[in-house]
This record gives sequence, structure tokens and C-alpha cells, in this order.
Amino acid sequence: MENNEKKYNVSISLNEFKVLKYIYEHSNDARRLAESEVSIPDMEKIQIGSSISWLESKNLISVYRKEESYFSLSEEGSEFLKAGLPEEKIYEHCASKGSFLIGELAEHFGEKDLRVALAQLSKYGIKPDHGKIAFERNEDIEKDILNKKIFLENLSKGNEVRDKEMLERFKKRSGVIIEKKRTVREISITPSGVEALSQYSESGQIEEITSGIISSGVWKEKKFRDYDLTSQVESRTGSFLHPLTLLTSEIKKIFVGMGFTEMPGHYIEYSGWNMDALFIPQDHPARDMQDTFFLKSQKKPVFEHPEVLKILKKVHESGIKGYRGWEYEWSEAKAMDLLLRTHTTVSTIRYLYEHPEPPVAVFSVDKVFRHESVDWKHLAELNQIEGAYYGKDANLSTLKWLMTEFYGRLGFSKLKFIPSYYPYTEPSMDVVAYLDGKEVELGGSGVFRPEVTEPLGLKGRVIAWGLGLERLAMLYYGLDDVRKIYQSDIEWLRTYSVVNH
Amino acid sequence: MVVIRENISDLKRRFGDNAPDELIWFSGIIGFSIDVSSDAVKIELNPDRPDLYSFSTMFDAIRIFKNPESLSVMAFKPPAISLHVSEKALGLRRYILCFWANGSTLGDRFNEIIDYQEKLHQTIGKNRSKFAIGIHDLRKLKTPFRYISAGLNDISFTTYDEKVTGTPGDILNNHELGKEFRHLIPDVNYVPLILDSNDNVLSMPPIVNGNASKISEMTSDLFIDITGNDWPSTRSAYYLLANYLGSVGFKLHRVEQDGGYKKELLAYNDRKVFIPRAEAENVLGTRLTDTETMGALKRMGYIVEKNPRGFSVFVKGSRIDVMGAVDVIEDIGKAYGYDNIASRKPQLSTVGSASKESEWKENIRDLLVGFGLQEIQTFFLSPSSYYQGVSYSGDVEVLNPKSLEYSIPRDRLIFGMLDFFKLNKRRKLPQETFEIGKVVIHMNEKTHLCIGITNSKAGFSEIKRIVDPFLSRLNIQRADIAQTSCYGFIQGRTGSLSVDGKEIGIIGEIHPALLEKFELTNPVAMAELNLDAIIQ
Repeated sequence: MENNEKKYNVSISLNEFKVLKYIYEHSNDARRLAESEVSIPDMEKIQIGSSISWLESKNLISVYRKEESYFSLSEEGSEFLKAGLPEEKIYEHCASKGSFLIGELAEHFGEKDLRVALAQLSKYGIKPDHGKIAFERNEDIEKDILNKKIFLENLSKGNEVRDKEMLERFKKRSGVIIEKKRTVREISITPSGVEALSQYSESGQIEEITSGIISSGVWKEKKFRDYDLTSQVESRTGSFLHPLTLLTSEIKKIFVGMGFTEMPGHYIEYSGWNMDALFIPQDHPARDMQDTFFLKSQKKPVFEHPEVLKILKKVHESGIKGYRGWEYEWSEAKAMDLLLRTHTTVSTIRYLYEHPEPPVAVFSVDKVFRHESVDWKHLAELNQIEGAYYGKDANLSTLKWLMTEFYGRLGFSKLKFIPSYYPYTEPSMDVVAYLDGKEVELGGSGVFRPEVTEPLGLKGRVIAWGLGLERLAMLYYGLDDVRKIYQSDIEWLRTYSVVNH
Repeated sequence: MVVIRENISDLKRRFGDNAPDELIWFSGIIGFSIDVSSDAVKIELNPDRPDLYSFSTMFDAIRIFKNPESLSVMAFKPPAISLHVSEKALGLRRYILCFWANGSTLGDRFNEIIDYQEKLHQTIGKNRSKFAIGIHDLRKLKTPFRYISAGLNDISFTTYDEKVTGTPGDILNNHELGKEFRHLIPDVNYVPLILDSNDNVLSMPPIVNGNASKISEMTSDLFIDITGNDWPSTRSAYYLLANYLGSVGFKLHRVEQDGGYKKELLAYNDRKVFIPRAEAENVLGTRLTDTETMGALKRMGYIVEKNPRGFSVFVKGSRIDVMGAVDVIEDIGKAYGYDNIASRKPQLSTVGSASKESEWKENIRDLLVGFGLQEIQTFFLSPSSYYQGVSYSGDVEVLNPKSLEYSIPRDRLIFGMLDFFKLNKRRKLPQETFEIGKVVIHMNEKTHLCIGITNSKAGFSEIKRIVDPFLSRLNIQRADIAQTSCYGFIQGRTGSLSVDGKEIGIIGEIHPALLEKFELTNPVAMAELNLDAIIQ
């Protein structure tokens, strides 16, 4: 382990090797090497700079930084270099003809250039006389102007200033060159650097593995350079199933594994099945306009198994043997109200009516609708997870076992059962789980009332439990706003992970 | 959910220093939620136990649970006072149930009984539409009483709050309660009234009480009237109020009346429910000893007799939730403790399976993810703004939308996906997505698949190069494509797809006019397929 780390510490790329070698050969204890002095064929300045940074980060070289001033061309200076210095332009213009009127020159070159040019030319002894300027060509003047241009050109290329005298002259002349500050690096090799160098074979290590490397057989002779495995890479964009889909199939697997069959269902239901068949009285608050989405349509769907309507009337009005019923006048019209189903229990009871021979174990994970205002905690449509078991031994005790098993497989190991109330179950229980020391309400459950099961011809008891999928998804994916599930950020869909369980 | 609250200091003064802890403990038995803060206790109750909608009745139940021997039957003892009931009044309100009660002055309980009465009005009374309660100071009145029907100008009286003095007609027109509840009186020319022997108006149900019989903290003799047209709930209110007054130590007395009730009223109190031993065991899945069962029943406030086959239980009139044996069996379970009921594995002899539909949906999802598409899910209920100027083919309308944002059962998936692209406008491109979801077309529920791509360039060929291989993976070797026009798609670049002459969907480029509606500036190409038609 220790050995590996050491090896990793001195791992260097080919470029780094070249730079390190150059530094080793060109510097000594007494003399540090300036970065600008490092010159390696086939390496750009910028590559050298980057290698120096890497070598420093690996402690193979010592880098000293100091502030340095340097000069560069101003905008005007660059213009002079391109179009010629003003004194040069006027010199050339006049020299060709011998003499010119100042006014004429001003018109041709502009007041500003003329003024600069006259100031400079006066240093060569050329001065206007009686509004005229006249002179002979002079080799010294032309040479001096050329030197000025060479100086400016060097400066523009970032070369080191050699002509100190010319620098002084331009420093005095305003606006052509600008003084700037920069940090320069001076480098010396460290003992680890020397060691790294000795370990590196100059014949090179294999960098990126390419088809050329494989087919040429180069890999037989060379070593693979160790990579820095911690370096950052740009993540690839993938595409995935929606988080709810994943969670849903997880839940389906649990149910199927426990022997449950998935049942069909639909969103649009009649109140008769959604409410009355579950012994929810017609004046129950759940049937108020504030709690359920009611629908209107010219096209009426088929009322499945219409023979139950008669049964429902009797049960609601006068109950069954031993049970007094709701003691009111039941309205068939109300049973024919269309709505968006408020629970999937409607599918359960209809499925059992169609399959009255016990045992039957069914489940569904499907959408239900609630007349809620949508906010961070509430949705108007959500998926209900529902499981039901119809059998001779369906009772509170087996209900507890089924829920313990189901929630256990979902990852909730510690549960609490508390009494609750639902109009179609008696007894009714709510389930609370402990998650990170906090109590989390999971869902409801209960034994179907005999007024629900007996009249529909069921011969045993039915136990059922349910919970909201989105609530669970919030726990699983650590969401703080339930709307994000349906109004999602694509980045989340591309990167989500499970935070609990 | 019904909420009752009380200050901590008042609660401790009335029910003892342990009161908050006792409530927390009892909540685990009955199943209500409780929130105790430094200065108040708040309880939220399920709708099945209106007998517990006050702290007095709650602590009475706690007392009985802890000391079942202290249970006393709810009994109405002599002397009775009498009420004459006129047939005409019954034509306006069919039932009138009365009793009277005396005890120490109401004191603290004055506010509580008013609050309890109001809770009953709101919940089981459905805002007075099922019954109305009047509570009167008996000492201010002269018996016997009469329940009559009166014309709008027949008599003049002052309302309990002294806001209006005048005829029944004046009160209906001018008092806020008159305006709110007059629609509950079926006749526009007559109102029901309860009068004493001096013609003082006790109440004009279900509108307002008279000032003559107004109660206060100092009242110790009460006359209660409950009038209504719905028999079970009027009966419930009668026993719930009697139970409340019994729980605060008042003695209950009957009112003799010559109509306006059903004979079974008396039989409803202490009604007998038989609990077969085997049924209790079958529902709870646990065998309790007779002693355990009887103990549990007594703690829950039942009088119990043991029989060879089970238990005869006598249920108080105030336990309106008990409709038969299972309701009592649940109470056995609650008193025994749900946590004490063993968890037992059922004889599950069933073989589980997912539905065909969910299996093929899963396969299709896997296929599409394989093509590099990201799955999304959007809402079934869509904003009405999506459908402005669009011909909607759902043929269904939500009668009572909660907001326009969630008001149209979608008939296509493309709008939801465009909205998704809008939400993710600033995210990395390309975005290539699919959704499988239900839509409603001509009142039939269908499962659709929508595929959409958006990018700086996203045209017909980009979407076709997904749909073609997708269909062949489903073993559809040949899908015919024909020029068509469809809202939101560019004419000439939109095709209808069909297999064996049956249309299965649409494919094309989205028109900039629709993109503009969703504030999108990058092109979008989409396909929407009817999966039901494809899978058949």
C-alpha cells in the first residue's frame, strides 16, 4: 500500500518528464531557471507551463514566484506598427518630393499625426520654416526609424527587451508602450524530482492506449503510465426509467413474490362501485363535491354488474342480519354519478365479486384522484398501492403478518399498528414506521365490514391495506416537494439515486 | 376530522395534573391524534366517535376504561315533563326529541356544551340540515310545552342574542341565522315553534332560540330539544347530548310527548348486540379468554353478559358507530391492544402474477430506455389552457375542478411532454423522452405512448429513426405512413401510422405556433401511439 502510494506520487507524463529533464540539465543549486528559459522542441509554451504546474503539485520541482514589470504595445502603438510611425509616414511623404506646405500635410495626415511627427522629426533637426517643411534624405534618420520599428515589433511578440536605450525613449514618448506587471516563475528541481527522473525511462511510457499501440506490439516493451485515478471527468448523460416506475416494479415484485395477483382497473368509475359497494353512505363527507372529482359526459360507460344496485339499496337502507344499515332512503341516481376513482379499493371489491371463491390475493399500484389543492405535500392525482387477501383465515392477525412482511421487504423493519377508522373496514388499523428515529405514517388497513362482503356473495373475510406511492417515493428519493415527481427536472431524472433503504 | 382543544392550565384544573399524559395514553387505544404543546392540547378525532367530541366525555371514557366498575347505564328517570306535539308542526319538521336534565350550575361547561352542540350540528347534522339542537334554561319556563306550527306574523319574540325582536317573518328576514337556514323550512308561510305555557318561545327550529330560555354559566336545569327530518341522526343527537350531560354529572329525565318520535327510540339505548365467541376470534385472529374479552368490553363502556356461545353486549345510545357485532369486536381489539395481537402467517396458497398489461408496458419501457430515451411521467389532469382553441376528444368534463391547472382529463400526451420540455428549457440538449400513460378518448380510457425529441435540430427523420426500429422490435414489420393533418403538427411533415389498415398513431414535427405556446425555441419532433391498438 505504502509502496503504491509512493509510486503514484512520482508518476509523471511524457511532457512532464521532458520539462523535468530540461530543468535538471539547465539549473543548479545556485541558479534557478526562469520559466521563459525552458525551451523544448515540439512543446508549446502553454504545454510547458501546464507541465510545470503539475510537476510543482507533485513536489518534483520548487517554484518561486516574483512580480516583474514588462512592456507591451498600446492600441496606438500597435496601430503605428501596422500603418507606420507618424514621423515615418511624413518623412517618406516629404522625402519623395523635397518640400511640403504644413497646411497641406495637416489635411493629408490629420492634425494629430502631424503634431506627433513634427515633434519627432525635430529631434532629427527637421523643423518647419515659414509654413513649409523641406529636407534631404538622411541615412541615419532612416536607420533610427527602422530601429524604432524593430523595437516595437519585438515588444509586440513578447520578446525580451534588449535595446534599453530605445525603451527609455519610448517610456518618455506618451501612449505608445504600456508598463504591466506579471508573475514569473523560477524553477529548481527537488530531490524527489531527481529521483523521479531517474526512475523514468526516456524511451517513454504508454500514455493513452490506442489501436496503434495494440497492433504495433509497442505495449510489449513499454510500461503503462500510472494514471491519477482521482482526476475529475465529465459525467456521461444516460437515460433511465422514471423513479416511480422503478419503485412500482419493486413493489410489484414484492406482491408477486408473496402470491398476489395484479388486478385491472380504470380511472372513471360510477359512485355505485366506488362508494356504495364499499358501504360508504350517500351523505358521507367523502362524497361531497369538496372531496371527489365528479364527471359529466354524454357517453355513459357500462355499469358493470348492474344487478348489484338492488343489493346495495337493501344493504344501505336496512343492513344485513345483525347489522342495522344506514337507515336512510338510498338513491340509485346518486349511485350513477360518474367520478374519478378515489381509491383502488373499488377494483378490489369488483374483482372479488367476480372471483368469489376464496382464497384470492390481489394487488394494484395505480392512480387515484383527490380533490386537493396541489402543493409541495399534496397532489390531485397519486398512485395508491393496495393489497387485499380474501380467505378463511383473513383476520387482524394475518393482516398484521402480511403488512409486516410487505413493509419489511420494502425496508421498514419496525412498525407500529394504531387503531383507525375507515367507513368500509372494521377493525381498521394505521401503520406507522420508524425511520431515522422519526415516526412516518405509512398507510391504512383493515378487515372489510360484513355489509361490504356478505351481500356480494363473499364467503370469508377480506383484509386489505394501502398506502400512497408518492409518499414512499419522497422517502426513497429524498424529495422535499412531491410535485417534482411529475414536473421533473430532467437532470434529476438522469441522475437520481435512492437515499433510503 | 374533528378538532377539539383546550388550554393546558384549564385542562389540568378540570381533569387533574395528569390529564395530558392520560390523553396521550388513551389516543393509542382509541386511535386519535393528539398534539400537546406547552400551552394547549389539540386532538383530532375520526368521524366515527362523536361521543368523544368533548373533553368531558373523553375523560368519562378514560375513567370507565381505568375503572370499569364505575360504569353506569344511561337512564332517564322521573319526573317527566310533558310536550304537546301538533301534527301541523310535524309536517314542517318530522321528529322532535326532548329530555331534561338537572345538576350543579354549568359553570365551565357552559362553553363546552355550546361547542359540543355546534360540533354535532356541523358533523352528523350536516350544518343543521339533518337536525337542530336547542338548549334551554328550564327554570325560566313554565311547563308543559307545545310544539306548534305558526304563521309568519302570529307571534312576536326576541332572539337569544337580542339581535332581532319581532315576528317569525321578521326574524327569517332580518336575523343572520334566519337568512342562512330558512331554506331548511319546507313551507314559506309557516314555521315550527316550541312554546311554554306562558307562550314564551323556546325556539324556532332549525333557525334560532328565543331569549326567554337563554342559558348561562348559572343554569342548572336544562331542557333540550332536537328536531329534524332524518330519523337516525336526530336520534343520535338526542343520545349524544344526553351522554354529554350524564358525563358531567347531570341527572337525565324524560319528556312525555304525544308524537314526533319513533317507538324504537327507547330500544336504541342499551340495545343488545350478540358477539359469538367464534366470530370475535375469527375477526381478531386471536383467541382471548372469556375473562380477557369481558374485561376488554367493560373497559370500552359496554355492559356484558356471558352466554354459552358468546357475549351479549348492551350498547349505549351514544355509541352511534356500533351497527353490529364487528364494531364491538373492534373495541375488544382496541382494549386488548393491536400491538398485543399476534402476527400470524396466512395459509397463502395463491400463485402471484403481474397483469399482462403491466408486463407489456414494462417490456416497452425497457425497449425505449434501450433506444436512449428518458422516461417521464406527467399529470392526467391537464390545465385548461392547453386546450384553448383545440378540439377536445375526451367527451368528458370535470364538474367541480379544484383549479384550472388540473381540470381536463387529457386526450393526448404531447401537451404534457411539451410542458416538460418547457420546464427543462435551460437543461442540456438533446432531450429525448417518452411517456406511457392513460388518456380518455370519447369516454374510453386508452394507454398511449408519446416519444419526443428536442434539440437545435430535431426533425421528422430524427423521430422516425426511433419509431421505425421500435415498431419492428414489437414485430410490426410494416407500418404504413400517410400524410395527415393534426393540431400542433406541421402540415406536410406529419403522418398517420397504420398497421393492416388500422390507425395506431401520429408522427411528425411540432408546429412553431404550438412551440410558442409552450415558450419553446428549439424544434421538437414527436410521435404519439395508441399502445392498446399496437399490443392487440
